Amino acid sequence: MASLDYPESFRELVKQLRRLPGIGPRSAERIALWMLRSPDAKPDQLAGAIGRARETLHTCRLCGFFAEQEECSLCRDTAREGGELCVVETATDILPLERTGVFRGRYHALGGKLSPLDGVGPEHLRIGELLERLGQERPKEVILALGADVEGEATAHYLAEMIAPTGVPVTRIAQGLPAGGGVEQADQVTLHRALAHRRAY
Amino acid sequence: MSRLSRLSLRGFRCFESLEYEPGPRLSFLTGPNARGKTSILEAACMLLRLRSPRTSENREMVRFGGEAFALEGMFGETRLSITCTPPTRVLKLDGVVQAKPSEYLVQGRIVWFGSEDLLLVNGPAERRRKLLDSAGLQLAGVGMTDAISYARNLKNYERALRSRNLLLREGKPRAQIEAYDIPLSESGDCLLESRDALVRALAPLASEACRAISGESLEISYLPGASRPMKEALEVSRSEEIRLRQTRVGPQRDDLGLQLDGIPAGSFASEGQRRTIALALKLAVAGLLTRINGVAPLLLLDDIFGELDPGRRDALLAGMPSDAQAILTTADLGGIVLPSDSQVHRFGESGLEAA
Ligand SMILES: [Zn+2]
Repeated sequence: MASLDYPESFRELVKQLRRLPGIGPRSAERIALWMLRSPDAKPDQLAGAIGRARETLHTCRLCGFFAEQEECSLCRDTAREGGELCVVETATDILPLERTGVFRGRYHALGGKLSPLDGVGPEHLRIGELLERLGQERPKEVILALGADVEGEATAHYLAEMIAPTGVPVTRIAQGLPAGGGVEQADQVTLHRALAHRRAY
Repeated sequence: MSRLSRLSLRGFRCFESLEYEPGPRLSFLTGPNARGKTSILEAACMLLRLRSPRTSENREMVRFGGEAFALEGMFGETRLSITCTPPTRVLKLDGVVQAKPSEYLVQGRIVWFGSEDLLLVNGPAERRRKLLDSAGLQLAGVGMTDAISYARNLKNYERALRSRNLLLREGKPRAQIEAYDIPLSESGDCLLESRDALVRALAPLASEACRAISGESLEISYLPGASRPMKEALEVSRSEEIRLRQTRVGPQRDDLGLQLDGIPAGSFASEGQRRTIALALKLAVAGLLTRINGVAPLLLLDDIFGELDPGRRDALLAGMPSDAQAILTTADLGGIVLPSDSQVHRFGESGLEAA
């Protein structure tokens, strides 16, 4: 006996939804049903929004952030000119830093981090573009805001080495005890780092 | 004090189903070989530590023709269970599924001894590094000597080392290789420091255990694979590592020096002496875990007597940590006088029977 299933067009919709990150078969089915049945669903608007975003969104030529023109709004903001340049791993790291309101310079997303075990070398990252920008924009400081894992560390050291000949001062965001954490709860590496990077009052 | 009071095996190794209730102190499993005595120890190890000392493949523990195994047991007041359908597994504490193993793994600690541990004395240094790791990875507490820091350092070091060696092997530019110097020496220095401290703490315990078993004098010492700070050791080894295309210094070259009555033990020790030394090292780890964690680990001792002469057998039993629970296997007990609080099960025709 052939088993009963949804019609082909519905199955295709579920199939496409399932390809989205974090969506399993059950959620895909639930979303598809809601999309087609709920009076609140606006599937045409959704389809349109996806299409328009795809058409108008680019990667900023300079920093790698999302942009609707050749350069993003951060890079076009002349008030940020000649300030600090903050280097991050991916474009999605930019907004959390921006939202702190503490940093008023420009950004540069590398598009990843060095990881020889995954076949990622310097040639796969936007390091050449970074060095070019340093020559043109002459920021007064480069701030490395990379992850504290093995790969983030290695990438930071590699960049510091590459930037040194340009004469632009390089700093790295502080690493140490988390806010609200005591010395007693800190692990060995965190304490080593916190001690090594202590500063004068 | 937490004891393993019940252990149940389903579809595990040669057992379709087995219930076993070890006693609070020394519990012996005796009987002919190939009946599965070691598999019961392995099940206890798997239940408490989620890993087997005999294999890294969970599939190998599934009973022939089956697809899954399940282990369950009472440890102290907590019911532990693991259901493993390779490659997936489900862990439960008191029936509550644990998404991550961290909470599960703090329940019980073990010290395992098997005949393969005789190679601790004359086998490759990796075995001796693993012994130190088995202590480092089971230490409770926070700060400088806890299992979580140790595990993280080990993992980060291994990743940095593999990356760096790959770059060296492929002859990449120095800047790419040296980018790993800091992450490598950072976790490396922590490991060197932790292992140094571990050996210092283990040394007197190992001497004491060896003297109790055989009257011989055992001295252990840490032979670090790099001087600290490791960053400087890396710089000194630069030309050698370029020539050999491999990182030449670091904890991956650590060793443990073993001297019996003042002579390096690896080259001359007899089978009986090797067994004595290996047991002394394991009992030292047990002693250290007891002291730091405040709770004795469960001792799982496979084929413990081997070729030991009767004198050493009696001494070994007398020297068992007085507050520890141990499950021990041996083909037969011969004329050994067991401590009064011992329990003996024997594999007979109808399976496991209390003797
Ligand atoms: Zn931009």
